[in-house]
Parts: sequence; C-alpha cells; structure tokens
Amino acid sequence: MASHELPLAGSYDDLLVALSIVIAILASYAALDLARRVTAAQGRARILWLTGGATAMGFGIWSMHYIGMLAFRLPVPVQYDWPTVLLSLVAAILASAIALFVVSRHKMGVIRAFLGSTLMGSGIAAMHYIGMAAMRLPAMCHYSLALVTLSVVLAIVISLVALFLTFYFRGETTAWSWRKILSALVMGAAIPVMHYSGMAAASFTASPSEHQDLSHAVNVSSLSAAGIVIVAVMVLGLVPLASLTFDSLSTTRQLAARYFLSLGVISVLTILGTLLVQRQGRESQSDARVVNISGRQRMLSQAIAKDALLVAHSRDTAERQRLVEDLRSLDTLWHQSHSGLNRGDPELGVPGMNSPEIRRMFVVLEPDYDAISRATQEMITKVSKENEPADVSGEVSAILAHEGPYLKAMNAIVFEYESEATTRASGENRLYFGLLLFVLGVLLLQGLLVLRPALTRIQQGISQLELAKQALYRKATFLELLQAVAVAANEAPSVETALQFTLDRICKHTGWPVGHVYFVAKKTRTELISSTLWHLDDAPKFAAFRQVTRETPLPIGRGLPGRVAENAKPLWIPDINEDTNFPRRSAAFDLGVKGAFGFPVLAQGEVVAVLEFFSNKIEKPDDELLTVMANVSAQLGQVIERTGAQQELARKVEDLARSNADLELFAYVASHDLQEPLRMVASYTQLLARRYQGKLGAEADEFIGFAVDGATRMQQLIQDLLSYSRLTTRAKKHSFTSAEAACRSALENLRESVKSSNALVSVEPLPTVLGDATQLTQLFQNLVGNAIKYRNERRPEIRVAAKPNGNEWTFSVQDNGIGIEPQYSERIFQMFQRLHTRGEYSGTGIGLAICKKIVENHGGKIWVESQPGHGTTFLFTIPWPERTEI
Amino acid sequence: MSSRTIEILLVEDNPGDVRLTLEAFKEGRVLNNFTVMSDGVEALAYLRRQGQYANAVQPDLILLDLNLPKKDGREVLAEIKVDERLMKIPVVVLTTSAAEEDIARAYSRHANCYITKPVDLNQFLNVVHSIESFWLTLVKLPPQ
Repeated sequence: MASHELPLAGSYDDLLVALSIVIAILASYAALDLARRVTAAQGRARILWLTGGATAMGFGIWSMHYIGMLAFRLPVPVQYDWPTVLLSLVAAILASAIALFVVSRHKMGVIRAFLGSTLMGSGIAAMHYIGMAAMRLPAMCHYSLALVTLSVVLAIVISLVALFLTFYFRGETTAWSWRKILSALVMGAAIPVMHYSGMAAASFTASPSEHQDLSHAVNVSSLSAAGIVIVAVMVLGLVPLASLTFDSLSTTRQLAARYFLSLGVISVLTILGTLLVQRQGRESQSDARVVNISGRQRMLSQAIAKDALLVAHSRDTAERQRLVEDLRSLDTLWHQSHSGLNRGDPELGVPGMNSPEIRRMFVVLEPDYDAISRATQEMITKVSKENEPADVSGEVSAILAHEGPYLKAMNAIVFEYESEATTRASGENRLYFGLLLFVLGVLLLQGLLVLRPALTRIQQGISQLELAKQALYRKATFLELLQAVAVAANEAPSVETALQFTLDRICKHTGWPVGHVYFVAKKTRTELISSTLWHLDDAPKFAAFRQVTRETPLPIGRGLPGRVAENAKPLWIPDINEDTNFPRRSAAFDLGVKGAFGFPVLAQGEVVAVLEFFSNKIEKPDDELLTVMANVSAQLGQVIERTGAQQELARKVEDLARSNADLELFAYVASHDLQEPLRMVASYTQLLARRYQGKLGAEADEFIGFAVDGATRMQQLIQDLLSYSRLTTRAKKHSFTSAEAACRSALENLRESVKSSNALVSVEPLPTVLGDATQLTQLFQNLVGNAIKYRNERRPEIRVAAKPNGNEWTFSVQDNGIGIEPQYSERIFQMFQRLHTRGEYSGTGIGLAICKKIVENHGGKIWVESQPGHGTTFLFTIPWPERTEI
Repeated sequence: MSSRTIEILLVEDNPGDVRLTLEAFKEGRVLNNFTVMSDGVEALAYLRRQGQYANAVQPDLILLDLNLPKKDGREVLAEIKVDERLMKIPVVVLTTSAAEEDIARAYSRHANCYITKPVDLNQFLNVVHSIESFWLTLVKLPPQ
C-alpha cells in the first residue's frame, strides 16, 4: 500500500509528565541525602553506600526519563526493545555513580567539577538517546542536530549545577531543611527540562515497521507504567527512610515518621490504583472498539460479497448504480477499518497497537484482503464506468473465493483481539487486586511497626503512671502519718502522751492490732521495762498477752525489743514462729500473732525506748514503712530530748535562783553582821577621842584618829560591796525605761553637789531603752557625780547626750574637768582602783566598777575618752532590744 | 518640857551599844530612866509584867533593836503592836540595818519610826539628841 511519509505529531499525557517531574524531584532529594551519606561513610560502608546510592539514584533518573517517554503519545503504536532499555538504565546508574563519587570527595575544585559534570551530563544524555533508540515503532526518527547539541549542553550545565548544590548542601543533617528541599526542587525541575528538550530534538515520520528488529519489543502498557512509578517512588522513598531510622530520633518521632511514611505510601498507591482504574477504563473502551470494528470487518466483507453478488445478478441499472455506491461506501469503510486496525486511526478510535500474534494473523489475512479489495475496486470501476451491465463475474468469484478464508482469518483475529483484551483486563484486575493487597499489607505492616509499638509504649506509660500514682499515694499516707506524729510530738505535754499517740496512729495506719512501748531502765540501762502504753484493737483478747509481757523480763539482747535495743536498729520478724529469740512466743502464738516489728527511739544517740507491733498475718518487710518508722523514731527521740532538756533547764533555773538567794542572804548577813563590830570600834574610839582628847597625849590622839578613820572607811567599803553585789541579785526584769527620766532622777539625787559646785548640767533628749530604771539612775548618778567631783578650777559644764549608732544607742557624759591620762583608761573601771589619794578626792573607787557592771547588765560597753587638763567623756552603749526580747 | 522622869525601855543585846546609848542620853537634858532588856523574850515578859517583872513600870518609849537573841526584835515589835495594852507605847526601832525590807517590815508592823544607827559617834550623838527633842520634848506621849 502507499507508504505514508507524513510527520507524526506527538502529544504529551499531562499526568505522566507531572509524575515524571515528581520522580525527578524525589530523585534529586535522594541524591542530596545520598551525597551526605557517602561523604560521611568510610571504607567498606562507603563503597556500599556508593553502589546502593548510585543504583537507587540511577533508577530514579531512568524511571523519570521513561515515564517522560511514556507520556509522549504518538499516533502509531510504540514498543520498546527491552535489552536497550536495560542499557539505558545502566547508563543512568553509571552517571549517578560518577556524580556521587565527585560530590563525596573532600574538595570539589573547578576542574573536578567540570570534569564530573561533563561525564555526568554525557551519561545522562547517553541514557536519554539510548532510551530513544529502544523505541520500536512504524516511524522514522529524525534528530535535529542543533537541538540535540542543546540538550547535551543543558545536560552538562544542569549536572554542574546539581553537583554544586549537592556538594555544598551535603552537610545538611536535618532531614527537612529548606536548603535541601529547595535544591531538590531546582534539580527536580531542571532534569525534566533537559529530558523534554531532548525529546523536542526528535521528530517522527511514519514508515513501515518491518525494518526494525522486533524480536524483543514489548508493549509498555499502563500496567508497566504504573509499576515503574511505584517502584521508583518506593526506591527513592527508601533513601530518606534509611536516614530516618539511622538518625537518632526519639522513639515517638520514629513511630510518627513511620506512620506518615506508610500513609504516604498508601496514598501514593491509592492514587496509582485510581489512575490504573481510569486507564483500564480507557483501555477497555479502546479494546472494545477494536473488537467491535474487527467484528464489523467480517460483516462488512459479507456485505461487500452480498452486494457484489447482487450487482452481478442485477439487470436494473438504477439498482446496480445504487448497489455500486453502497459497495463503494462499504469498501471505503472496510478499507479504513482495516488500515485503522493495523496502523491506528483516531477517527475510528483504534490505537493500531497490535500484538505480534495479531500482526502475524493480519499478514496471513493480507492476500485475501488484497484480493477482495482489488476485486471490489475493479467491480466498482467497471460498473460505474459502463452503463450497461458489465461482466463482473470474475470479480465476484474472486471475492467469493477469498471471502471464506478472509472470514475465517478475521474470526481468528477477532477472537484473538477478544482474548488479548480479556487477558489484559484480567491482568490489570490482578494488578489492581495486587495493589489492594499491597495497600492492606502496608496497613498491616504499619499496624505492626507503628500501632503496636505505639500502643505498647502507651500501655507502658500508663502502667508506669499507675505505679507512680500508687507509690505517691503510699508516700502521701506515710507523710501524713509522720506529720501527725511530729505535730503530736511537739504539742504533747508529756513523753507518754506522744508515745501513746504514735502507737495509736501507727496501728491505725498499718492495720496491726497490737502496739506496745518498752522503756530502757534508766538506772541500769541493761534491761527493758514494759510500760503501760498499749494499743490493743481487742483488749480482752490480748489481756493474756499483756500479762505475759509484764511478767517476762527482757534484758537487752533478748526478744524482739531486746534485740532492737541492743542494735539500735529496727527489726522485722515476718513470722514469730520461725524466730528463735522470742520469749513470749507461746502466748503470742495462741492469739494468732504472726508478724512482729520493733523500732528504737533514740535520744542523744542512746536507745531510751522500743516500740513493738504485732500482726496476725505473716508480713513481708516493708521498706517504706521502715523508713517512715525511722523518721517517727527521730521525732519521738526529739520529744524525749526536749522534755529532758526542759526538765534540766527547770532544774538549773531553780539552782540559779537558789544560788542567787544564797548570795543575797550572804550579802545581807555580811553587811549586817559586819556593820555591828565596826560600829563598836568606830564609836568607842570616837568616844575616847571626845572624853580624853588632850589627856592622853598627841600620839594617842593620832592613833585614835587613824583607828576611827579605818573603821569609817571599812564601813563605806562594805556598803559599796553590798550595792555592787545587789546589781546582780536584785536585777529586775528589763522593761522599757526612759533614760531621760533615769538621768533626771540621778540629777535630783545629786542636787546638793550640783548646787554647791555651781555645775551647769545640760541633758539632751535621751531615748527609751530596754533596761532597769534603778540601775540606770545609779549609772547616771555615778557618772555625773564623778564629773562634778573631778572638776578643776573652771565652772563644771556637764553634758549628757545620746546618739543612735547602728543597732544601739551611744550615751555620753562629757565634762570639762581634770581629765584622765590614757594609760589609766582601763584601770579606772576596776574595783576599788583610784588615781588619786583620799586626801585629794573622796571616794572608794567602786563607782566606775558599778557603772561597768550596770552597762554590762544591759548588754553594752563602756569606755572613756579624755584629754588631761581639758575634760573627760564617758561613753557607753545600750543596744536596741532584739525582736525576741520585746 | 516634862518634869516627870520619862521611862525608856531599851531592848538591845550589845552591851557596847547599850553603854553608848546610855552615855548619849546622859548628855541630854531630859530626865530619863532606862531599863535595859537584852533579849526579846525578857523584853516582852517585862512589858507584860510577867514573872519577875510583876512590878515593872510601863515604859513611855521603847527603843528596839531588831537583831536580838531568842526572840527577834521584829517579832517583839509585832507582838507589842497587837497587844491591847502595849500597842499605844511608841516604838522607835533603833538598829544598824539600813535594809529596805527591814524598814518596810518595821513600818508595816506599826513601828512608830525607824532609825539607822550611824557609825560615826558624833552622828550617833546627834541622833540621840534628835530622839530626845522629838520624842521626849516635842511629842505628847500617851498618858499612863
């Protein structure tokens, strides 16, 4: 037949184009990740990563290319020579290997980059054109050299860009960094550009397909297309998945990642399945049409035969013309359908993609077809040309002769078409079911890998929480117990009350029926005395036990309490029947007592009491209870120590009071009884002086004078000593006193001496202090008195003032008297120390010692600052009262 | 100024002190007759005219020391001042003690006054003269 030299216009299936771009992006992303892996790996691992990565990436690139090719629809059937296809895959893998190798080196210099990109670009171009070469179709492929060159250059340039991006971002460790994603997008967009420019370089013109080697040609159905997409997605998807499990994500994140991944896989599969179903629909539509049309061929041929016969037998010209017209239209349709079935016809809606078997059948059919066709044509020409009935018998017989074999062959073809369609449909059904099963499998896997671990973790979490809650509850109850005991211990008026409370509380808390306290004998410290402190849930029942306890002497080391006291540690007996050192065992056994437990109460490191408890069940040691008991015993120990200390304190206070009373009595007696003989001496010597003055001689007078003088002084000294001692024994409790009032009072007492010395005394505002009014008066009296006494020829000017200083008041008594030399500033405060003779200034020298004692009683200090000849300032401090004193 | 002799009871255990007091009063102007008791029991017996003191003269003034053997001056004071017949007799506590409690207690037992014996002789003589001028001259003693 006529060979058509028509250019074949190709079209692109948008969906597949989109898919190819998606695969390209995935492949780029995987490339980036792989680059990081390879760079990071060493030795054998590196080689493993390199080969595996190259395979995955190569497959990705190749599948992108392939889907792109499948997206390209031509009016003629296209098949692929699978060995060549495999070769293109190899080319893709090699190109990837080169790329990964280059980017995983330490440095990527310009030269290396260019070399690498050239190799890689050439590899990719090679893959592309080898892939094109694998096409088997009834068409000639022409390549525009300019576009081919452009596509190769583009391949090299894009490879260069890809290498750079991959090299510089290979360090990105985060799985979803925007840099990586951006690079993936860029590369993912660029690679299809390269591919489609390569496709644009090719143009097809129709030509018979016999020239090509079809021995290995296969149809690439939607089935395979779907398969390629799935595998590509999964392979590329594995790369980040591999990273995900190696990265040290938390378990929760890993689970979530797995979950989302499986969701992703399922959605991809679902989309693919839907696409598949759509495709299947379209394909079955086209299959149906093919079967239809091929079926119609039979009918048409029969109609042609019939018409031919009719023409032959018809004498009516009009009828013959009509028949011929009919024949013509039939023949045209028949012809069109035949060529459509073989080469495809968009008008008829047949793709023209025939399997080898069908082609073979058509070849068999061809002679008959040609014969019929020729005969028909001749007949048409003859009849339409001549008006009179022509002799078409030859043609008719030719037609009839070939009709039979034609029909038979066509039947076979129709049958073949049908069975192929059915096989395809069932194959696709199988694939569909396979896909469904796969989805189910993924769901199941997800259930195993995600749900179950997650549920297990949740369950574990809950059980842990449960345990924690229980532990917390136990701790809370123990704390409560401890707190109650602590409060009781603090508030209890006596040790016994605290102990009884503790017994009751512990028994209530543990549910044990019997509790009891033993005291360590204070005097001997070698045995335990049973106290009357018991806690009995059932008093009558345990009365016998009480009795036995009272009657059983327990030296230290014997029995439960004995051992506890000996070791100063708690003791737990799960079952007393198993215990050898338990004297009261028989009595306890009769009452059904099984478990026993005792703990010591320590005061100042020594065991003073032992608490014991009994239970009617065999009890396992409870560590928490033991810890709480240790705390309880500490509290009780503190109570005992405290009461002991309080008693000690009361005793000491009593002793002090007694001692003070004794001292006071002594002082009183001393003054009183010493005074009397003194008076005798003084009075009679004076009487002597009066009566016998001048009669005994000057010497006698002198002697008498000294005697009297001595006695008088002695009395004064005794008075001074007495008032000094009274500062302590008569010390009153300090209260808020006005220092100013005390000073005024002192001045009142000194009225006479102030008047007689014509002293000018100025008192500045003085504060209120915490102290003893009497003593403060004495203090001021002594100081001001001294100031007046130790005056010089000037008029005495005395100034009393007070100044706040931190947390105390500093008082000052300043005069303009004779002053004190610095080396004596300590000595003057000592008892009976004087710096002048009695003749110069009167006094016993007790005044300042009394001042010092008073100041010390008030918690202060006293000192002197003086300039001999100019004056003296006595300074003393009285602290502000502490909060606790108020 | 009274012409009659004033009876004074001196309750004092120290003979030295007794002598001193007597000497001091000798230098005075008022005629007085001293009876000396040296312990509290005797003093009370005398006042109550018991035993050998059946014919005792009731004194017009009592000079009482606090520290006495057997019965303390404080007790004597207490007993005097609750006795119907004796309570009107003025009691001058004349003692060495200057202790506040002694003073307070004496007055609370209704002592008429409290004088501390000074050590100095001159002062003592002045005290005695003061007693004389006040109690024996100025003051109207209760009638017998």
